[in-house]
Amino acid sequence: MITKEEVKKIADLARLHLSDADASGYALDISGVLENFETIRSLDTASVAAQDAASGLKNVTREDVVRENILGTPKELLKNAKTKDGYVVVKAVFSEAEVL
Amino acid sequence: MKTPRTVQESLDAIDAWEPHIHAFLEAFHETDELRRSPEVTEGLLQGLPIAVKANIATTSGHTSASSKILKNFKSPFNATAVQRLLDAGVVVVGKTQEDEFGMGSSTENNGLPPQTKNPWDISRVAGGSSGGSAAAVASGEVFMALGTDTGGSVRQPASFCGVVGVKPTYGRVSRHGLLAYGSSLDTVGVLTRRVADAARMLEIMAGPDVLDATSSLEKGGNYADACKKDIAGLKIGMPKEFFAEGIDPEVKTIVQAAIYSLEKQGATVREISLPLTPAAIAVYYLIAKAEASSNLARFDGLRYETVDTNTKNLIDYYKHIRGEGFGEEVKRAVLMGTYALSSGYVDEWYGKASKVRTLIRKEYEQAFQNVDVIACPVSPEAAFLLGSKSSDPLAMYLADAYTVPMSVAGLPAMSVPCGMTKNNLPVGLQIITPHFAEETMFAVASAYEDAHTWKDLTPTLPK
Repeated sequence: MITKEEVKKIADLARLHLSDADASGYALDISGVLENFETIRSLDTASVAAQDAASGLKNVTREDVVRENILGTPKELLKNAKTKDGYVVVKAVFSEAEVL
Repeated sequence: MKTPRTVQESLDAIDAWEPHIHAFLEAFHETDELRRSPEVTEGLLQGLPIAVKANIATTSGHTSASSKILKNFKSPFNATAVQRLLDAGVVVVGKTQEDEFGMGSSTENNGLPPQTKNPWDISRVAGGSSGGSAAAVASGEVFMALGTDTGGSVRQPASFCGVVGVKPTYGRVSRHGLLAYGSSLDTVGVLTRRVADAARMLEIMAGPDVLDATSSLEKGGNYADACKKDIAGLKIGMPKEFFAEGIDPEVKTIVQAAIYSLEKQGATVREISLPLTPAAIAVYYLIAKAEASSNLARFDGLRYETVDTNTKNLIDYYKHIRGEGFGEEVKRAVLMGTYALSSGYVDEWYGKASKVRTLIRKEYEQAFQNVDVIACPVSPEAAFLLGSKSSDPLAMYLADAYTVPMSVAGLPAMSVPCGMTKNNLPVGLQIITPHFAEETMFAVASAYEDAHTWKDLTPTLPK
């Protein structure tokens, strides 16, 4: 139902490196699971609204004021990252070949 | 095996049991990690040793969700549930093993070693995904453990390990600091030996939190008091779909007997029908995996820890880090979820599942017009052998058939020990009530516990 090529395309969208063998395995697994899940397609939902949250809350608001450092200072929150001058350091976005 | 009430008793039990069951990813023996709230000098919970599942943020130790991608991550803050317990005086003695990011039903999908085993039989799984928390409570390593329940991850391991496991109503306990799996399903739950202890812990954790906009604005209830309530006159529904094909006959007999025993305390038991039960697995997994694919996008190898790689550019770095850092089941979830949400398929899969979710919720609302409580098994079988399902993802998903419907409907549900199989493995009774009716759930669980002696059984330390 879902092919190895489709799995590779999805993996690309999800930023996941997969080997060819892994992609074949996942195609087989996911096809098997979705085939089993097809049973819900026969249920009549023509007049049913989708349900996304279970607790029935809507329009949760708060005071329109800034709450400083509610979880910690920026420095504390960035302690796990590699930073420079308060910014997260990342790899080059374009490789040299692409720049040229 | 006694329930530890001091940090020293807990650390001694951990030393004795850990080589056999590996409930912990890390246990804190150094005093700087064994932090307690300095303001709390007295009170019932002062100094009680608890364990916290690895996917719940604590400033002590690591918050890895048992994933390689977060193996060095140290949270700058405590989850709200943890903070409220610390403020009441408990001491966190360690972080427990789990299925990576909560994805699994046996704690065999752990991304970091070692493998958790069931204290009743170390050739068997502890259940999952909160398997480490359940094993730690069952063995008497801690007084209480926090777990998370997205589709049964507190209730099923509690059942497999013979302890009490509570999944509150969705929104009852703040999710702030819980590493998200399926955001519309995730709950923080508690595992203890005794019903009243779980009630007291939930009472402390429950209630609104500005840091989680989906936390309910309703105040928490008096759950500990509810444990003393009479259950005479309560109407208990026994859904026939939970006793149909696929259940182990021994488990069926034990759970049926447990439910009918409540009649001796004045409750009435009647058979009810919840015909959408078989559809819940598909609805649950489609929604959970879709939400997971979105939630796990944040793990980029940059903000939570950085790794030196040989990659050329940023996209390659992401793919490498995520391909290496996520385990097999997590990758399967991200792929399946991305597929279920992708253009051209979203209506057919995620959309359809969300609509059937509404139908399931309504089916429970209707059932609760006629009964106060629904009672059924937690799992179709007792703890299974390590390795017996780990190569078949569909078989593992189907094992969750009795816990996912309540997650999909957002209902409170708990597991309470209700018997032992011939192989000396615990069986759990599941008790379900309407949204925010945890009081009734605790009343029934406590009445059942009082009338039976399962609470006195504990596993023996393996030789």
